[in-house]
Order: sequence, then C-alpha cells, then structure tokens
Amino acid sequence: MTAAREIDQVEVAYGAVSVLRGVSLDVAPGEFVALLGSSGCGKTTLLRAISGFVPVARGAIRVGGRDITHLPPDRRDMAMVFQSYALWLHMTAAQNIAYGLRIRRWRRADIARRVDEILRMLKLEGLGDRPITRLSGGQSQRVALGRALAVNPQILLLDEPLSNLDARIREEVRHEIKAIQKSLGITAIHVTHHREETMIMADRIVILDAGRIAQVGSPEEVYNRPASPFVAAFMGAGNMIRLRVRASGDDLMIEPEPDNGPARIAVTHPARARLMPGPVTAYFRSEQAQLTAPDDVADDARDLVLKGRIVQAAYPGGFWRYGVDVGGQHFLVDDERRLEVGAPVGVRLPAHALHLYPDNGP
Amino acid sequence: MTTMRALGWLPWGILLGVLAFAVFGPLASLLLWSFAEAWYFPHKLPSQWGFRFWEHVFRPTGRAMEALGMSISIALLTVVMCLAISVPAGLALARGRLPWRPLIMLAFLLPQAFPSLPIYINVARIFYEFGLNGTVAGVVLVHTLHGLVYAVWITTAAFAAVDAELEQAARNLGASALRTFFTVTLPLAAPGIVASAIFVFLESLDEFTGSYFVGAPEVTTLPLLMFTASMAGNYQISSITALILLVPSIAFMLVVERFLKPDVLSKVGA
Amino acid sequence: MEGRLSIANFTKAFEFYDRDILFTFVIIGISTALIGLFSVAIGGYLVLGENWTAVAILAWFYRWPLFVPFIVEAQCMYTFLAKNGLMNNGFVALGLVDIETTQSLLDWRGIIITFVWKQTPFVALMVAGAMAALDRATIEAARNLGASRLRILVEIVVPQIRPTLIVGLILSFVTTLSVLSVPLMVSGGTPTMLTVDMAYRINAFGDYGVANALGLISYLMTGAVAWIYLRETMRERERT
Repeated sequence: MTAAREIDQVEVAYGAVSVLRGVSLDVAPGEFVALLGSSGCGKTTLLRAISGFVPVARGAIRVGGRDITHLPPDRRDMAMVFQSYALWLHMTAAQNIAYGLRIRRWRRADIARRVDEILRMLKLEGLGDRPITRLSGGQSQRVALGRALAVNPQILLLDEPLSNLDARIREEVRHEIKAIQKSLGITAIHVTHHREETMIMADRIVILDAGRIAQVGSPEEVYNRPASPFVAAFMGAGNMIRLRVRASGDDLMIEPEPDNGPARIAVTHPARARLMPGPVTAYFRSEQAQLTAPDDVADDARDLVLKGRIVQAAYPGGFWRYGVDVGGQHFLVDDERRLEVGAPVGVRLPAHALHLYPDNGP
Repeated sequence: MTTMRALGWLPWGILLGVLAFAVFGPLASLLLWSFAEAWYFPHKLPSQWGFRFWEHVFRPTGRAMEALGMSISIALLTVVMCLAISVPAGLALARGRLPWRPLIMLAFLLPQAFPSLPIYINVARIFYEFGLNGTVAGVVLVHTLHGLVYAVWITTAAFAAVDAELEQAARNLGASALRTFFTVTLPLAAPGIVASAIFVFLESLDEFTGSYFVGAPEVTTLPLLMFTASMAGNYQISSITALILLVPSIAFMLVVERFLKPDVLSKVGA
Repeated sequence: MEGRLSIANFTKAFEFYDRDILFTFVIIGISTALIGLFSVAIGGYLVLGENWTAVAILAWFYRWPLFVPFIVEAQCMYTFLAKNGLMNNGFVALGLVDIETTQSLLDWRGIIITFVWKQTPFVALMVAGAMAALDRATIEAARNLGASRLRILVEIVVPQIRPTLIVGLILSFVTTLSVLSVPLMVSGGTPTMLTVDMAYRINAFGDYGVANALGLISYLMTGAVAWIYLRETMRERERT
C-alpha cells in the first residue's frame, strides 16, 4: 500500500494575497488527519489545493510518490464530502451515489450492487429512490458521504461535513464516520474549526495559523503540550498570565511575586526545555483552576497559587462561577462554595496545567 | 512549452474571432453604410466616404430631426405615464399584502406573454373609433401599455429589495409613514426606479409595431422614418437613423449594472 | 369584434396562409432551438471555462446584441446579409467563397440568423445568471468524481437550471412571434411570417376578421408553449 500522500512546501496565493505559505505534511496510508484552525487560516485552501480546485503556486503534492500537483481535479482519484453536501437535486439519492461509478463506466448491474452496498453500510436502506429534497439533514449528509465512498477513493476529503447538522446528530455521525474510515482503511483528511470534533475523529491534528502549520500531533499531544501560545489558546487554554522563571537544578522555578506564589515546574517536554530564565507567559484552562485561600502555599510548590479578589459572581447551576481579578487581569473560575464579591481568594493551578512560553514583550 | 500554449490558444482564438464577427459584423455594416457615399458591387468596402448624408439627416428642417423630436417627446411622456402607475403599484405589490398579488403581477406580464401584434391591431381599431389613431396621445398610450410590464416588474423588485426593517427603524424613531417613504424607501429604491424609467424610455424610442399601426402615417417616429427610408433603398439615411436609435441603447448597456444591482434583479418576479 | 370572428375567417386564414402558418412555426422553432443551444454553450463556458482571458472576452461581447433594438438590428442585417453585403464581402476577402457564387441570405435564413443574433444574449444572460447562482460545490463534486466539463454541463448544470432555460426560451419564442419589423425588412418574399400577413390584411384590405383569426392562431402557438411550461413546473413541484 503506497497511498501515502505528501504535501511539500505548498504555497497558494489568491492574487497578491498568500493563503498558504509553505505547508509541508506527510500523511500515512489509512491515517485520519484533521486540519484545524480558525476561519481564514488556510485549512480549506489546503484541502482545495489537494483536491485540485485551487492552483498551487509553489511546492508539490504527491500521492504514493506520484506528483499530482498540476493534475486537473477530475483526474486525482480523491473523493470529497462538501460542507453544503453539494448533492444534485435533480437526481435521487441512488443516482447521486451512482454518479462516480457511471463516470468510471461500471456496468449497470455492478453499479446497482455497489449502490445497495453503500446504502446498507450507511443505514439508508429504502431511501435510494427518494429525491434529495425529501431527505433529512442527517440522511443528506450520509448520501454525500456515500457518493464519495462509492468510488473506492484512495483518499477521502472532508470539508466541514458536519457543520450543518444538529448537535445531537453530529455526535453520532462523528463516531460513524471514524468507524467507517477505519474499517475501509481509507486515508482521510478532514477540515474543521471544531476542536472537539477533531479530538474525537482524528489520529493526527494539524493546527494551521495564517497559512502556516502551527503544530502537528496526536489529539493528546496538541491538547496537553501545545507548541505555541496560539495553539494553547486555540485548544482552550485561553487564560494568560505573565510570570518569571529561573533554573533550579533540572527543573524551573516560578519566582514568587506580589500576585503569585512560587512553583516548581518539571521539564517534561521539549517546549519547556527551550525556556530561558526570565519573563514567561503562562496559559491555562479555566476548568483546571481551583479557588483556595489567598495565602495558600502548595506542598513542595507543586501548584501555583495566584492571589486575587472576587469581582463577580454568577450561578449558572450546580456551581458558582466567579470572576477573579489577579493584578488587573480577569479569570473565570468555578467553585461549589458560595463566596462574597470582594473577598480575597487564591487561584490554584496544578503545575502540569501551565503552558509556559518565553515572553516576547507585551 | 510556449509554442504548445500558443497552439492551444489557436482554436479558441479562431472561435472567439468567428463569434466576434457574428456579433459585431452586422453593427459594422451599419456603421460603414452610414459613412458610405458610394458602395457598389464589386467593391468590398465603400469606395467613397463622407458626411454628406449626415448633413442631410441633421439638416434642421429635415424630417429626421422632426422625427427625432417626436420620438423623444413620446418617450418622455410614456415614462411619465408609466411611473405614475408603476410607483404606487410597485409599492403596493412589494409591501402591501394584496390578496391577488400573483394574479396582478401576472396581469401586468400578459402583454409580454402573448404576441403583441394582434393586441396592437385591435387597439388601433378601438383608437380609430375614439379618434386617437394618428395622434401623439394614441402612440403614447400604446407605448405605455407596452412599457408597463418593465416598469411595474422592476419597480416592484426595487421596492421589495428595500429591507422592511429599515422602514420600521425610521417609523420607530418617530417618522411618519409619508416621511419614511420619501426619506428612506424612495432613495433606496431610486436606482431601480431610474433603471425602469430608462428601460421604458428606450423601449418607447425603439418601438415599431405599435407606432406602425396606431401612429402611421400622421405621427412619424424615428423607427418609422428609418423603415420608410430603408424600404425606399436609402441605405445611408436608414443606417444613420438606426445609428441614432442605437447610441442611447448602447450607452444604457454600459451603465445598466450601476442601476440594476443583483439584489434587485434577484427580486424580479419574486 | 369577437362577434365577427366566425369560422369563415378561420377557413380563409387557413386557405390563404396555411404555408405561412407552418413557415412561422418552423422558423420560430428552429430559432428557439438554436438560441437554446447557443445560450447554454455561452453560459456553460462562462461558468466552466478555465481560460480566464477567453471567459472575460466572451463575457464582454456576447451581450451586445441584447441592447440593439429589433428595428435597428433588422436594418443591420438587411445590409449585412445581402448578396453584396459585408458578410459575403468578408467571406470573399478571406477566400472562403467565390465572388460569383455568393448568395443573399435575405430569406428564411436571414430571419433565423436575425432572431438568433438578437435573442441568444437575452437567454444566455438568464442562463448564465442561473448557472452562476448554482452552488459551485455541486459542480466541483462532479469534477471531483472525475466528470469532464462537457459532461458536467450536460448532466449537472443544465438539469439544475432547466426552469430558467425554459422560461427564457418561452419569452424568446413569444417575442420573436410578435416581431413585425424583422420579417418585413429582412425577408421580402413569400412565404413569410404571420405578423407580416396580419399587417397586410389590415393595411391592404382593412380585413380585421382574418387578421384576428391569424392573431388567434399565433396565440394558440403561444398557448401550446405555455402548456409545456406548466407541465414542466408541475413536474418540478412533484419532485420537491
């Protein structure tokens, strides 16, 4: 199996605007890779460059060693599931699924068999003769997936295929697509801006920022060890504080300051090893913070304690959500206790929950 | 590689060339004839060029200038008549919840949905009994009948493209209904209404069949003059007259997109 | 007026003008078919074309005839298509035909050329607009599955814009059916179109009876076309 695809220094520009600035990526056969990023980051452009709908200015795209960079889209043997599904309303569900097979000049009986197979696999039995307009959103989505899968593509491209579904159906379909992809052993490339969706579906996540790759890694890696402040913020660690660190043996020590206590940080991964003594920025997730006494000092300085004051309180149900002011910055922390606005508190953060990066000025 | 690319262009170049000849050839013929003082077989192009016939057409006492004045007066009167009907009708059709709305829209379309010539001959007959045949009023009425389709449909679309919430915002701030119409609705719909007015003007200017039955021979519009000249073999005169009729239409084509925005176009017939 | 419409007028109409009725129907039929073909080709190239320069050039000039009034256009064609008109002169200059064998196209062919010239941009404008409004992804999906562009035009694009194409062709059909100036000027001889016959009945004889009978026949042609349209919309409704 040599369907590995390789994206080598690909650059795409619309007129004078560069959208992709040198993106390189290898995808292994059978792998499920997600391209994640906010809108305008170039993820959709990368997918369209792979499928051949936008011309590549520089670089190469190869599949199994074959250069396909300048092949027209109809000769790339990839099947794409579109965000809008792009189903043809003048055809029935079965005709939609059969279209790629007709292009490939399959015999009529073979097409009928294959369409039945696909309908069964996607739990669409009995819906083959339905006009597209009489299908529900979830059914349309399956037909779009079935149309792509029917031709046995080497590579399946998914362009935000779940964004038009209800939250409840989306949950189901995520697992289904993943299961089908694994059982068929197809390589899949999935574009989305939905973090949770990629975490569940992808083997590997590629985070794009302004036309460049910010980080590539397994869901667990990008979540727990974001390579840059951008990735940290994108993966939900949106709270930022400035701290100072110094070396202390093999570890790093966070120096106590008026707004925070000391803490010892183990150097567990390369991003942390690159830290130099001096000012740093630390990113953390609200849900990993706990309220504590303002003068709390953690045992062995394993946790960092920020000193602040409650400035806001709300009860969303089941717990209280407090706005805590720490040295002029505002964080949201949940706690089950009822506390007064104005009360001094400590915000306790486990050392492993802190993502530290060199501080390059304000 | 470059020769390959140049060769790849060749069929497209030839095809575009043929298309261009098909589109512009007849217009070129018109242009050539209007400047040709002599063009006889077997010359492929005029053998003598000049403005002699232009002078002839534009002579102040000439019938052509008279016909041009007549055509423009009729067209302006037609525009006034059409707008007087289409603005209130368009507003009512776009905003009001008229029970028979689709039927009314269809009624305005009918003159266009059926061949107009049989209508004109009967209109001409009725007008004859009222003494309207061969009068300017009669021709204006016929042109209005014809222009109303464009006027009502485009004006309705122009009003429909004005978001009702914009009016509600003005009303909410204390503007009266009338004031809202004149300060919000009308300015926003103006480009579409202007477009419909230009449309009606041009349709009237170029109208032949209705004028032929109702106006001729007493009322001579420019198209009727052109037709007479052409049938009499005065190709230069008829070509120059045709050119005069063509210029406003081409000018309109070049600016139409400024008046008819896609949001209005998408509401036509909706 | 309707009261004077008796069977006699129809008998007379058919007796005198049966050839012209058929002639009109055939001329308009051929014109409409060609208009449909060309407008789909133009719209299709504008939407699916990949050579941006060619697309831009085509988009710029295809719509010119739309704004040329029928009467002006009839005059243009009258001189353009003549035996020694600019078209034949051009062909001779290019060496495509011999100067001795040129022939005038000022007959039924001239009428068809004139109608196609004038109405194609109108239908093409509607068709191209509808094509541009399509969800571009439906085209890309077919491309992605390996369909060629011609195949996409026929199987994906045209079926989706069919209602617009049909409306455009019907409007064009009705328009050409009621144009008097073009058959009057471009084709002098017989057989000729019903509009010319109607004008002749009135101008020569003041015979409103036969003229209206002929008018009603042209309405029947329109009615037949309208029926096709209604059937089409009903089918469309059923499907959704």
